[in-house]
This record gives sequence, structure tokens and C-alpha cells, in this order.
Amino acid sequence: MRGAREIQRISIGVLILLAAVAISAAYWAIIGPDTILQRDDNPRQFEALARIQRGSIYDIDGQLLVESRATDATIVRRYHLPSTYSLVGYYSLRYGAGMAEAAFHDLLHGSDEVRSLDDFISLKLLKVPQTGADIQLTVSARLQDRVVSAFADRAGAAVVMDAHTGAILALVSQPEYDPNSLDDDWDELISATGEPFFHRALQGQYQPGSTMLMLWLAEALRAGVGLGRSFDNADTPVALDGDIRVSCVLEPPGQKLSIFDAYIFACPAPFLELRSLLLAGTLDALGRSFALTDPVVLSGFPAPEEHPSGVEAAEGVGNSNLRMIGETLGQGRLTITPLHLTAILAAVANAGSAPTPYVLAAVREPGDQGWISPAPSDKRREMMSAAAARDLRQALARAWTTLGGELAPDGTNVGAQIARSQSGESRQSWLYGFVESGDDAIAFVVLVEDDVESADLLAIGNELVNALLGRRI
Amino acid sequence: MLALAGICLLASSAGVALSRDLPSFDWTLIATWLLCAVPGGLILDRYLPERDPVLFPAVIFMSGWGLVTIERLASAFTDRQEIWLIVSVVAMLLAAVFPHALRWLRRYRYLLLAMALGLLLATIFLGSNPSGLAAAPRLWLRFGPLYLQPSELMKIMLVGFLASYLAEQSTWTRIAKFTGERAYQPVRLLGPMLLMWSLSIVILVWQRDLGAAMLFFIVFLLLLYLRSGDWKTLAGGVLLIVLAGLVAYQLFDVVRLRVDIWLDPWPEADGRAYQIVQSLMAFGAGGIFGAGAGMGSAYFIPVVHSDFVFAALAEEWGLLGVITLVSCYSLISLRGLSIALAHGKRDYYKTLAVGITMMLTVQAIMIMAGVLKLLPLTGVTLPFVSYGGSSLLVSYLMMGVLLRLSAEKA
Repeated sequence: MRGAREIQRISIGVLILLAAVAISAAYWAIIGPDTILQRDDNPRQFEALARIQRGSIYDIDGQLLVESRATDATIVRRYHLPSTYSLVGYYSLRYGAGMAEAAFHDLLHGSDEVRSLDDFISLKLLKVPQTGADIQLTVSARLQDRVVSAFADRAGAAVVMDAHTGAILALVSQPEYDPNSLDDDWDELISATGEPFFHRALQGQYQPGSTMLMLWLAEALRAGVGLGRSFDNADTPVALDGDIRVSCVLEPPGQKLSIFDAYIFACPAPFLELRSLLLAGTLDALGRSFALTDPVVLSGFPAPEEHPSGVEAAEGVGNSNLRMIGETLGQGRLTITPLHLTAILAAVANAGSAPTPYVLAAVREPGDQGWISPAPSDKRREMMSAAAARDLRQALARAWTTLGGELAPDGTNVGAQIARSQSGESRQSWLYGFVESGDDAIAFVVLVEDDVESADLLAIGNELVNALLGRRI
Repeated sequence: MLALAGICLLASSAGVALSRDLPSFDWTLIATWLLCAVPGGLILDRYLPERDPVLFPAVIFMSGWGLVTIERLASAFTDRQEIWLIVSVVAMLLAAVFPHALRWLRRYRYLLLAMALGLLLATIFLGSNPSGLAAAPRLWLRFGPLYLQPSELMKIMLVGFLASYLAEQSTWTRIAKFTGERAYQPVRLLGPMLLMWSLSIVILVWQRDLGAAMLFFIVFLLLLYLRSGDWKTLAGGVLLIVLAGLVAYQLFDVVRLRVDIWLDPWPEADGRAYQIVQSLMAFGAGGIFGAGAGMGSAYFIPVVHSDFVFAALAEEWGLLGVITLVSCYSLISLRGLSIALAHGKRDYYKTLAVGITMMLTVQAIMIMAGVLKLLPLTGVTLPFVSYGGSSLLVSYLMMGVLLRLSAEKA
């Protein structure tokens, strides 16, 4: 038949072209999810993120701190307790996540991985937006509230840790920001002088100042130097590089003080002599004992930008007397974070052994009713002997009463000391200590980025100790 | 088949309605579709019982699918498209049922072609664009609230003209072969080819309508191949297309833009290539099974309801939806060509059936391949599915003629 061959050829050609269309569509359908859909300029990614029902965050008492709420267009994150803002952080489609939101992002975000037929039906066929797990933190919102209110508007940080387990009970950094309005405030926040995104408790590397005295005391105990050994002219101020003079934090009863009393009144001069009594290279030993070259971090949270590896460098570069004095009194190149100091305090309260800090108490998978607690880390840092820890607790308890701290009720023990330091042009005031009650032991550190009167620090300490004892007893 | 199409449409509509507030879904589109599908089927059964039984269900199914997609992604256009669907199906029925349609198309071919050309030329002076954008191509003629695209009307007129002309030439060719006068054949075939090529170039130059120009020329080449049986004619035509493409690339910004974007869209994914990149992402997002009826984010594709409706269907229905749609066009193509074959020695009917089938199928391939970056984008609509009144009307008119041809099989 005329034209039949041509029609057949045309039909074959058309079918080949239509098949090419189908094959091309199959190509993009199969490779697309791993290639073009992963591009940053894919608006579907942004939209898919906005649809995810992110998990909620609770405190240890079950109080809701953060939740996701559906609005007309998208799902928004709501942060309920201002005192916990600096801990829970933020989650923004535009700017990412910070703090707990970032540390536990995988849990909160959930997964679209298909692990069962239900998953397949729900996620792939019905396109139900993925739902993240709820998490419970070890912190107490009530305690966090008390700490923040004690801070008033001061800039600084506070860490409260269970000395036995490493559970973080409070973690504060001020100034903080309101994560509810983060997208609107972002430009202002990133240029704010108070650096609200800088978490002082975790990232702040401060000169330890007179908190170093506790470490020298521990080193003296380790070296077998008796704490009763006395020093003349103990109240003499010490001159540091840069016209800084360091004197006793509290007025001592006399000029001759034992090393124990020198610590209680935080007088620096005897510690210079003490160091000369200890073996050479003790700053190295100190660094190793308290893991100063390996800073304590909270897994998943921001870490110090530079590790305080200045212990060796400080001794290696030059060796002037001033440098030695500065290093001894915590005004050298050595720095420490409030979290790290809290870990050392935890070792003091826990027979010399510092637990690994953690903040995740439990996880509740979507659809589940019960909470599941992750296995705690058994990694510990042995920082001192149990005897040395006991002696340090005694020193801290004496310091607390000398300071005028409120007396601990029967069956409890409180010890704390204040300290001063200077980092660059700014001065810091520290309050660090522990609270024991029955089998419980809690370590805490409060840092105020200002030269605060001892009475004010004591007021913060009393508030904190009362909150801790009120909670534990 | 119609019932099956109805069930699919209802399921699709339910999906879209559930994905938003139920009352906000325009349920009149279902009524419109039923109004077109049921009486349309019944009228065809009554007056054209011998017709091809597959074609009408296939195209009305695609139109329903398109209507639901338009309602979801550009609901402001749903009402207009519903009206056009009714008008188009009526036009199809008239073309199919009217007994003299085929004869008139042949007898008045010069008049009809001249009218179509006149309208096409009128766009050069009186053309407008429904978008109102100054830079947009002025391919439409405005009649009050209605916009008509003459290049769409040109499709059926051109196919009717070519079928009639080439059928006459084939008679001459047979005589020439018999008498050994082969020297005349190239002139008789090359003449119209160069004329058509010139017409396409004119459309391209004056209207910047790359799609229509390519479509007309490709269909013409296929019909010429059908009548001559000479593959060299086809190859020569393809060479001319390439040549025209190279010249157009140098001369016209719109052609250069489309070719550049086709070759490498990724550096300009946020700019000039945004549409094609979003289209490819729609295919990726749809995957195998699709995002689901009423789901997906095809609204990221600019003007999705028109040229890129294929990408929207791919995102909602995935590869399965793509295969369904491609199968529909394969079906139209195979049935159309089988209708042509069935006409045996009736050259005019045969050529007309091939021409209409190719006009619909090649247009579908051009836009589907463009949306998938297999070809440069040419700006044609997806027949029976895309938004666009003129396109829908002419597609259904051609379908009416094809149905008539199927009923008049030798």
C-alpha cells in the first residue's frame, strides 16, 4: 500500500521520541532527589523544612520550653521561658539552629527514612510531614529562673552540674536574645556589643584569676605540702604585668597565714611561694591534672574557639618573673571556660573524679508515650585524689562561712569561694563552689563580667544555694 | 473508557480539594467536564458510531486532568478554561458530525489558508498579549474579552491545505514516474518546501514564535516525506532547520537565550533559567510516585499552568503520571496513524490524518522535551492539557476531523 512504509517509519520515530521523553523524565525523577533537589537554590527544600513538625523540648520536670506551632502558612517555633533562651538556642529556616536546637537537631528534626511499611505509607504515599522526637533536658527551668533573676541584667555565665552524673542542671549566658523574634532581630543581634550569640559558659575563655588558687591548693595537696604551712607577709599585694595589682579578696586577720587560710581569704602572695616549693614544671602538671589543655565541652554545643593550650607556651616563651607571677595567679596565657571550672568543682565534690557533662535527659520518639533515657557516658576525668578533694571541700566550706554565706541546714554541706580575674580590659568576678545533700552533690560556677562587690556576689551565691537546697531537700 | 477517565478525574479533584479547604475548590469544573464528556460521548455514539472509540476518552481525560491542575495552580484561570473546554468540545462535535467538513476543507483550502494567513499577518500590526507586558510577544488578536491566537488556527488550515495539495501532487508523481519525467519532481517538492520554510522564517522573524515556526515546518517535512517516500527530503529539511537555527541564534536574542539556557541552565538557575530549573526540580520532587494530588510545589514554576503544566503533573503524579500522559499521546499517535493507514489509496484522507496526528503529537513532544531540557524551549502548549483557549479549540477541532476520518475509513 502506498505510504504504508512511511507511516510505519513515522510511527516508530514518534514512539522513539515519546520514549525518550519518558526516559528523560525517569532520569530526573530518579537522580533528581540526590542532585538538583539538594541545590541551595531549591525553594522546595526551604518549604519542606517549614512543614516539618519539629519535636518539643522539655525541662527535667516536664515543663514545656519549646514547641512547634502550625500557623496558616508554615510551622513556627515558640520559645516559652526567657530564662532558658540561652540554653535552648534558636531554630530559624533562614539562619539555621543554635545551642540545644542545633545539638539535638537530628532528634528534633526527625527523619524521612523509611524503616517500616507505616513509614512508607505515611511519608512516601500520604506525604505526611515528618515529625521529630521530643527531648527532655537535664536542666530545671525553675533553677534556671532563679539563677537568671539573681543575675539581674549583668553579663556573665552560670553553670550548675550534678557532680556525680555530669547532668547540667542550669546553663546560663547573658545577655541572651529572644529566639521568637530572631529573624527580625538578626542583623541587630549579630552586631550587638554584648555578643548575645557568644555563649559565655561554654565558649568564654577567661583568665582564671584567683580561681587558680584552688588548683594550686590541690597541687600542694598532691605534692604533700601541708596546708598548715604558714607564710609571712601573706597579705602583701602582688604586682602583675600591666600595672595590675592583686591583693586578698577578703581582709585577712593577720599578715601570717597558713596556705589553707591564704586560700580562704584569697591572698595571692603565699601561692607564689608555694609554687616555688613545688617541683619545676608544675604548671604543666597542673594543666594535665585538670585537663586544661583538653577543655571540657558539652557534646554538640559550641566549644571554645581556641583551646587553652597556652600552658606549655607560657613557660616556653621567655621566663620572666612577671610572666611566672601572672601564670601562677591565673593572669597568664592560660584560660578556662566556666564549664571547665564547673567540671573541676564537680571533681572536688565527687571524690576527685569529674563526670562528663551532658544535657540530654530523655527522648520521646514520635507517637510514643514513654521517654527513653540515653545511656550516660562513663568517661570520667580523674583530677585529684579523694583525700585532696575532701580537703578542698573543707577549704571551700570554710571560705563560704568566712564570706558570710548562709549556713547550710543539717545534713547538707555548702562550700564556695569568690575570685577575681582580668581578661584584657575587662574584669570578671567569680563565685564557685558545691552543695552536698545526702548522696547528692552539685557543683556550680557563676561568672559576672564586671568587678562586682563581694556582697553582691554573695547575694547571688545565697540565692543559688537556696535554690539548690530547696530543690534537693 | 470515559467512566475510567471520570473516576481518575474525580480522584484527582478529591486530592486537590482535600489539600486545601474543601469549599474553596471549584467543583463546577467537574460539572463542566461531565457536561463535555457525557453528552459528547453520547452524540458521537449517535452520529459517529464507527469512529475510533479511544480518541475522545483519551483527550477528554487529558483535558480534565489539565483543568484540575489549572484549578490548583492558577485557579483564576479555571472559569475561562472551563468555557473554552465547552466551546472546544462543541466545535469538535460539529467538525466530527458535520458530513461536509472534510470536503470543504479540501475544496476551500486556498480560501481557508488565506484567511488564516491574513489573521496571522494581522498580528504583526494588531497583535497583543493577554499578559499586557510590553516585552511579551504579540501573538494574539483581541476580540473584546477574548484573545485568539491565529498561529493556532493556522495549524488546522495548514494541515488541510498541505494534505489537499500533496495528495494532488502524488497523483502527478505517479504519472511522472510512469512517463519517466523525474526531472519535474524536485521542483514540485522543493518549491513548497522552500515556501513553507520561508513562511516559518517569517513567523519566526516577525513574531518571535519559535515554537509555531518549528512545528509547522516539521509537520510539513513529515507530510512531504509521506508523499515522496524520499528520506533525503527529510534530511534536507532537517538541515534547513539547523541552518535557520544557527542564523536565528546569531540574529535573535530570544533564540540565543533559549539555546543558551538549554545548553547550561545551572549558572542562571536564579535568573533567566529559573523556569526550566524549577521544572526539572519538579520532576525530581515528583520522583516515581509523585507528591500526590494537590500536593507538591509546582507553583514555583512561573506560568506553570501554560507551557509547564507537564512539569506540574510530573510533580504531583510522579513518573507514573508522566508515563500515563506519554501513553495518552502515544495512543493518539498510533490511533491517528492507523486511521491514516486504513484509508488505503485515499491520499487526501490519509495525508490529513497523518498531518493532524503529527501536529498534535509533535507539539506534545516539543513541549514535553523542552520542559525536560531535551530540546530548547519553544513556547508551545501541551495539547488538551495546558491553559489556553485557542490551543484547546484548535486541538479539539483537529480531533473532530480525525474522528470524522476514523468513521470514514475505507
